Amino acid sequence: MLGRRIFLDRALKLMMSTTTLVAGSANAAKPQAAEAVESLVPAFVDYDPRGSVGRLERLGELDLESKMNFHAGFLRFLAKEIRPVIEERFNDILDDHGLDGSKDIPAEKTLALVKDDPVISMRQRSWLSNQQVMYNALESEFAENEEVYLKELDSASKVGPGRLELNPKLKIPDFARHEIHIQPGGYVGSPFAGYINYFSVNNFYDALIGANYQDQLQMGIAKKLPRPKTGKVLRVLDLGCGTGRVTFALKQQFPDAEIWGLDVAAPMLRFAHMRGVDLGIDVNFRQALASKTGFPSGFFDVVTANILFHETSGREAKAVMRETKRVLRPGGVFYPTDLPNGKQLPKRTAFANFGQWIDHKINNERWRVVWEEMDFAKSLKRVGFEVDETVEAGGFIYGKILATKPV
Amino acid sequence: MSSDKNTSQDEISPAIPSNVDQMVLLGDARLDAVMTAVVALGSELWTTKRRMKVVERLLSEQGVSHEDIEAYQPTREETMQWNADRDRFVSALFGHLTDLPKTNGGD
Repeated sequence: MLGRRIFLDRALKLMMSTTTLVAGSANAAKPQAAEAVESLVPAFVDYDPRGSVGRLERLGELDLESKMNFHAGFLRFLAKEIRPVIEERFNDILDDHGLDGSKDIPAEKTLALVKDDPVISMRQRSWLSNQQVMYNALESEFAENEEVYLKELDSASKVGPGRLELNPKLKIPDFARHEIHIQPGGYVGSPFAGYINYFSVNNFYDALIGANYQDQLQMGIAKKLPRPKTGKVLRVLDLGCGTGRVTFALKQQFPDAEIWGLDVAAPMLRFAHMRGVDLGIDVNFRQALASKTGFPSGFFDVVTANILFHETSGREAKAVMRETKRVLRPGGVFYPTDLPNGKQLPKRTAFANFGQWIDHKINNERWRVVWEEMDFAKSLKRVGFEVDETVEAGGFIYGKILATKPV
Repeated sequence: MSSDKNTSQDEISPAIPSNVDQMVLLGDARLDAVMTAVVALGSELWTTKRRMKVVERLLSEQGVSHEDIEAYQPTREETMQWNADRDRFVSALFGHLTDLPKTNGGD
């Protein structure tokens, strides 16, 4: 209810100032003004049966929240306890075949050797089952309560703060239609894609970095973002904004700036805008390709892109770099946070290559391999950016990179 | 606010599905299915345990302690009813074992 409350408070204040002049008494006018506001402004119908904990609006039912808690715990168990075991077994098996696991051996050469190992195959199976059961639970919640969630999304789109610009004519390219992370329907195939992504990713972060329920990781990115050395920050663009976590964090760092989140997927943007309304954060969202934003040249002082590049095709990634340079003003900065590649790529071992293949195969990370074979810094330089690979990383497993448009 | 009049259901594009639903990782689709069932059971079990934690916590605030719960002795009627519930639960979980074919699968 936070967003609606703030919105109504603002509208009420506006109405009160007018009504006060007419009635001569703010106190006497208040109930009438509140009624008038309720009837005049479109209402955000927030579905919030269990309240919020800070920035986290709790899931609709205790049992569903507990299921997510289990799936996060299971992921954590696989990451912390099983992964070291399978890495050791993997290397032992390679050793038995006269191979040195510390070497850069492609997955194609090791898959046949390890595929029947009971622990390795059980790890892959249980990881996949955990994701499938988790997604099933989330899908059921939104399907069974379709009416209230759709009403929440649709009503939010009619109110602020912030604007939601959707483009129904946008043809969604194939690279954006895949079920990345095996999310059912992907980011474009379900009206609940934003909800499903938001809550499933919460489990991922819970397992790997402790917790991110208050968007701590994204707050950290916005805080670490190096400011342009010249000029003020008046406008900021967040490419591939998804559910808007970084977009909101940017507003916290640049409260006076005009902030835009951009994504190709309308369902994700609907959710992001709804969450912005709920939190009372004044940011704008636009549906467009990151390679064709529709903004004027030199419009932005800062551009960000959190985990966008490894989830798009190589050709599109390069087009996004060119578009980013176009929309930045001279001296403006681009601070992408993504998996490291080029000279920042961690040492390639046989197990790392195997993990990359598994991520591709059972997590449907379509372009991770393509991305890790690229050299981001070199590509950015080719586009005409000045690149710094010594800046502070945004956190998590991100590489260190800052691109500045030359003055 | 939105600059269009569409609703959230108008904006869906068909996704390109992943193929994980057909994936067999344990060499036998039945084993893969059992693993998924075990994970689902774990999820359900933890969900129940977590709800119990909530219930016990709220009860303690009402004066019913953890020790009271531990010491509770079901009545004869309750024992009969709960055992019947248990039998239905076990049957629902493992009843399909009686439906297995006479051969061990394969052609």
